[in-house]
Amino acid sequence: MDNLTYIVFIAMTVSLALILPLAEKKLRRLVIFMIVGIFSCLFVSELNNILLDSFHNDVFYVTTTITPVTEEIVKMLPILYFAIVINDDRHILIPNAFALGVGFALLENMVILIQNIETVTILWAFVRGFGSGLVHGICTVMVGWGISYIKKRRKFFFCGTFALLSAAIIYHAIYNLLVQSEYQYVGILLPILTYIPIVYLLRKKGIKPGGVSET
Amino acid sequence: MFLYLSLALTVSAGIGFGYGLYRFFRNKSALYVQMIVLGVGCTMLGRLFTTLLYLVNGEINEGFNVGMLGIIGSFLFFFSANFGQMDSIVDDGSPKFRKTRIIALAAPLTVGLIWCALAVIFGINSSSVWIGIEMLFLALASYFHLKHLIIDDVSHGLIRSIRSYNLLSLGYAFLCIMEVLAECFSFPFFCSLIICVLECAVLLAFVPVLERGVKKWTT
Repeated sequence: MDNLTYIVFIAMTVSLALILPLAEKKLRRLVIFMIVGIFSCLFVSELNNILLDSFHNDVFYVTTTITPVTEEIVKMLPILYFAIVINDDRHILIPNAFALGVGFALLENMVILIQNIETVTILWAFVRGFGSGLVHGICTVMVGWGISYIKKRRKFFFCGTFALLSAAIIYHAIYNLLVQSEYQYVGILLPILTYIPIVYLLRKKGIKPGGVSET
Repeated sequence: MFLYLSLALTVSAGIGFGYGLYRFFRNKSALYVQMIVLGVGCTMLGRLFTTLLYLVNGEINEGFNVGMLGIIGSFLFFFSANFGQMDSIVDDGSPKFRKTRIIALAAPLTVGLIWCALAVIFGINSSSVWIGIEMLFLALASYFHLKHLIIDDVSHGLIRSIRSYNLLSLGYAFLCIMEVLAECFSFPFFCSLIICVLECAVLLAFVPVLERGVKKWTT
């Protein structure tokens, strides 16, 4: 079963990598971030298995307290690296951060699909697609927004990014808590209700997918 | 009953955050103000998590829980706004503000002393360590709140106009410490209720008080 995660990882990344030579720069960057997101998820899945063992397989505790912290930190690192080494322009960073989050959610959904192959339904696919995709996307965008200050305002960057990371971890933990409870439908609505105002706000500020700035 | 207290705090912070979003995020506003609104938003998220954990699990686990990050994140936002934006404007680093800087250290030192007292009474365990981490960020923010409360205004009324906000933030930090103490020493429920009511009032007042102060910057 463990190998299946790696098989899905290879199948997804190889297919996506085929786009790279044909795509123009902005699309290529988005796809690269998606692949990085998928890789981050693979790394986190191994890390989470170790954590689950050390917390006596208490899935509820680990998924509501520990994994939101590890997942958000691991997702933050590639964005931080990109901002420091390549480009810290918010108009480029935010759409790419969202792509990374979505990439992460892709493999996570596949792993959960493999683990629950007997019980999954079409409804489950919609729920996971919207819920997990949006939660990971939104959380990474939140942290990416803070990281975009790295070269412009150092004082803001250090504290602001950690504060945004805290907010992203709580948001993620709320989602994980709700989807495991009897209020799981509220959990699904949560990211959708957050996504709409965020997209409105980003569009208003001229940030579009692909890193194209209108301003 | 703690579920209802937590719910009241979530709703109060939610109203404060919603009002802040409406007033300061629709149009271009100072980043300083936006950071404070985000701080209130972070409080809302942390309180929401705690409320949901009470609702789903019936109790809060010992030591670390994600709700703590709500307090840490909100005070980091307040700290970030004051340290990153305001402090360089109101304090040019000259020796004439040395006295203010030293007096302002009283706030973090008090927080530190409270934690030391807790650590002596209850010993060093996972709860006291996490309370200590929470208090560290609270102490960092309270230093600037106290400093900006007592500093001489040399920036054309910029800091004077937001003194009530800084007083409110300092009060909120004090209430957060009281909340921790009430939990550690198992205060009667009545005390927790009073602390909760005061916290709700502060969370509701944060953005309107700040807005009133910020208005004076442009008039």
